[in-house]
Amino acid sequence: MKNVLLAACLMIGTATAAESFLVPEFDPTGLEPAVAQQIAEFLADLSGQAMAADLMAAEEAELYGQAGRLFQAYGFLSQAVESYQRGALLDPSQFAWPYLAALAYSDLGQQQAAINSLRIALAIRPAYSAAVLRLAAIYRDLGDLAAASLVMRSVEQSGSKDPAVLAALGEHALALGQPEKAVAYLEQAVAGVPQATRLNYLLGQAYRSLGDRPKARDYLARAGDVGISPADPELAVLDEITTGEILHLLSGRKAYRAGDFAAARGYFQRALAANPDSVRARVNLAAAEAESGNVDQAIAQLEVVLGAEPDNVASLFNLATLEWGRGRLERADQLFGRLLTLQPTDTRAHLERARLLIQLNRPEDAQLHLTTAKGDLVTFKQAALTEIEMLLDQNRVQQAMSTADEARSLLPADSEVALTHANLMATAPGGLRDSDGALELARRVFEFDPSPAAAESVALALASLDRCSESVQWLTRAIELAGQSGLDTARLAGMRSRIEASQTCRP
Amino acid sequence: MFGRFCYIFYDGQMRRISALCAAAAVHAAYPIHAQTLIDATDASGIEFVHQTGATGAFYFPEITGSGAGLVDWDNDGDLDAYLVQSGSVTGNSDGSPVDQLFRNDLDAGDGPGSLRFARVTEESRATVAGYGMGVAAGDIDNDGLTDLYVTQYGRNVMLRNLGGGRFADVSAESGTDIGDWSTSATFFDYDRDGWLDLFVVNYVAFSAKENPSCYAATSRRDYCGPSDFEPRPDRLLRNLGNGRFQDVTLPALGEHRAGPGLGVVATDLNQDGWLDLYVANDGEHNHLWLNHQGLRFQEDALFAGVAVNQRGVAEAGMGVAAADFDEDGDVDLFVTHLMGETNTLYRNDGDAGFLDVTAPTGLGAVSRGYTGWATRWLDLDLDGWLDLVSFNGAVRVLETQAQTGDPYPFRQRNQLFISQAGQSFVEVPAAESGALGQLASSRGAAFGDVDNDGDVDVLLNNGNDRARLLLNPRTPRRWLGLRLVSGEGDQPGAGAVLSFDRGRPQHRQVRADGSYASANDPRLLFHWTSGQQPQSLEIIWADGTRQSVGVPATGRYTTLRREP
Repeated sequence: MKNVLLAACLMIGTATAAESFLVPEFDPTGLEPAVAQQIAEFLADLSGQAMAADLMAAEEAELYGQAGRLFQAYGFLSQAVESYQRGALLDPSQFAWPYLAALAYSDLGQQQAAINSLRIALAIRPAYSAAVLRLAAIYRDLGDLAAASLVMRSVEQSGSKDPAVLAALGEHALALGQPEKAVAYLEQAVAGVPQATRLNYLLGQAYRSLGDRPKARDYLARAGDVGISPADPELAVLDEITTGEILHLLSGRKAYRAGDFAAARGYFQRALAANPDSVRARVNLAAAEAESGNVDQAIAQLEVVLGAEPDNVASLFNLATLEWGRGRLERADQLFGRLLTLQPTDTRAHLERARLLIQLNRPEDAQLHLTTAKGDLVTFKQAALTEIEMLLDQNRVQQAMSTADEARSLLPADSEVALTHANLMATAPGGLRDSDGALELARRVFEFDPSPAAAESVALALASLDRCSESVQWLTRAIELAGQSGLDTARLAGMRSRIEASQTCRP
Repeated sequence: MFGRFCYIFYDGQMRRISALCAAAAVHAAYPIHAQTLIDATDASGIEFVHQTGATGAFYFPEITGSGAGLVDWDNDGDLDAYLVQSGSVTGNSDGSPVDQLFRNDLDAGDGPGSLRFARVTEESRATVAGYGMGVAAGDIDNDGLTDLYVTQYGRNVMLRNLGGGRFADVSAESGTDIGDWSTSATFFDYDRDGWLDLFVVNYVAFSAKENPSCYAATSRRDYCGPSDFEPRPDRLLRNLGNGRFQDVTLPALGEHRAGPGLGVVATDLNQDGWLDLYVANDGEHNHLWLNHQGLRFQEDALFAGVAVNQRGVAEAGMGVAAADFDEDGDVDLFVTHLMGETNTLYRNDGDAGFLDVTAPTGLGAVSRGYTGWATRWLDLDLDGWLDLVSFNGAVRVLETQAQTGDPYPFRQRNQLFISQAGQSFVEVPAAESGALGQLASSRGAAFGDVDNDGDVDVLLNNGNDRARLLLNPRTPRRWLGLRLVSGEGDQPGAGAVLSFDRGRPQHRQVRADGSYASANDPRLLFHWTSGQQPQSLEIIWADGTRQSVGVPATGRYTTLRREP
């Protein structure tokens, strides 16, 4: 039912100072009760203050601004804009109202209005970096690179070393088709904030434009979702306003997906504070705690969830994984078992339980789960590789070879599967060994993907043919490649020493 | 005034958008009094209301369907209509709505006024129930008759065209009855063996039994997004030529991170003569599958520059349009996205990869306020340059509409962008955009010349609303319509590229895919201006064979057959 909060207050206001405090209409139907209550109480409070006899215009503006913040924090953007407009009209010297209105306009897709508001805001506080960078970004969005460049010129001249500013300058240079300049700024920004993995994408594209493909691929391989923004205290205030669970959950999940687990933890804690009975808040908090390295806290949260909801499959999976990590294998197995009773088609759970059962020395049980996991496209490869490893541990080389054949027939283009197959062919006993086939396969993979693992497989195949000195050369190559990639080289060096020391090097 | 600069319109205000645009815009900008598309639904005989089946449980599939098809399945020279129905996520029962087929009874001799469709669902025997998503079209058995593949939330359906306007369900025996949540699909001959293979795009692992509760920032209950679910892997099915398809996903694509896919096109993006695949994923990296001579595919979207936008942010890919919009000889990509993001135009720069040119071409800010679905490059103003349409509809409750008590607060207007000589685009203002200005929650749209008058019309499926037939009311003066066929059965020449020189070469590919979850007219249309003259035609068939042909009679459709 349509409802106008504060209607009564508005109607009876005699308004000695404020003629009437006009709160925009909005419909609270369907809102989380805590949110509806917070908005109602907050607006009633503002309205009460507005009725004070000696209210100055600036004070009334502040009340409208606060109403705007509240609406904006909960995503009622039209109402927020309306409130900010009233605030700005009453107190044109206040920076926050036109600035926050600009953000709301932008979210509403009204970019020209956003520009106008940002210009008003920047006339009041020209050095507010977040506003300046937003203005340039909107101009770029509109295709007006000239206007964006004009804005960014002042930023460039400021000589700021703030990584967020440097990143923005790099991004702008890239938009202008100036990859060298972009690289210079972006590399400085990344050096300052290495966790801002999204910048690696921009660097990758800049190097691609410069024709440096290896460097481009190197950066692109490290590209992620975490961006970087300048400090924005006005925006941070919005975050502090909300008390409901939902918004904190949404923000937490966004931070979690971006890999910012500390921030995610904070949001989920606030969601839980807003609703201590919330299972979803607790499950999410546990995940963020686990990702932050707080395993005990994560387990404690999950135990609470399972106390309330014993069939919560997400908690069962996560708790099983954490218990396994702590070495409590039997407990982890029980949890996986309960999960699979509830959700028998969960192939990821089948795969993980199989791995656990192998560790528990129960290969027959593990095999059953691996067979199920191999039936799904998503888990096939890992299940097949796990099965091969398990069969080799049992000395069932022929069966391992069969699984490798099966995996190769389904994944002929997969380097990891091909190298596993090659290594098997090179090291299998008796008639199962096919050293020439292994060498051919490993060389083919190396040509396509010159990785340390591929070089090692070539070396292994050569050793299998007793071509020891060539094998040593390839191991040296593997060690170099591993070193370049920052991988541990000790195992490869040990293998090389053994081959160098032996007359015959057949494994 | 319009001769030198590009303009963009906001709230009735007009302003110049950029120096780049100004330099490029040598042609007159969009004439603001033009009508764009007219709504011809009432008189057409197409009566179809899409049903999402929404019950208030906010089941995710309710917000994603459905598509449409414009396919000449009876080979009588005009496009028939297929409209995909949804129904109930928890299961349709007897009496539930089914997909609808409409036969086009166009009498070409009498002009567009005689356009009339007749409902033929029952007699066609193509009564597809289930929760429908999309439709793809292709001749799977090389008999010259176009077959249909219907994607569903549930089991997909392959409809073999028996001729005489009748179909048979061959899903199980053909091995194409994938039971997942499929959205778009495309038929293409990836290994050049002469048989059309099938690529099926899958979305996420959703189960009505485990329907999670999701919320808007307001804390109001709302639809979930793809990140709330695990993405499902797409599937590549090889046509064995004996009525059966073999799943070759793993051997051909290898292990890869699955994406929540919605849109797809099969097209040669690196100009090596082999058809590649581009998949628009919702909120995750898009996939670019480069075809290595029909043996395997390599995913290389990130390096190519088409995985994410210019800022490195993955966007919510919905529909895809592929064509050479700037006429530089290679295929460019346009992807529609979620409200708050821009749609994205990736310009193909050959060896240098793709460049996100959304903002400099004027397509950035104008799309931020809309969630785009179906999209297509089409020459709507008949000046020879490809314009662009985006059909829009929200997936999250629009608070401004919810506040007014709208029971279906997902409605948005559609958008038309007029090409400025292939360099930039100008949006036609809402007030000038004719039937495109109607508010609806649009999803799939099929594009084709329904009345055979030489321009592209649209069959639009709107979520929880009436489907619309939108006609281009213009009368083209200089046009050429071509239908490419090959083999004894006159199979449609899917994947063939035609190069048409009218003083400057235009390249167009025979394709029925693209848009969103829809099957489009595979015929090719070319327009030119008074100062230009048709000079030559060259066909590059899907297997790489080249064939030069004389320019046939203009102002009509001509069938071009492959030389034996």
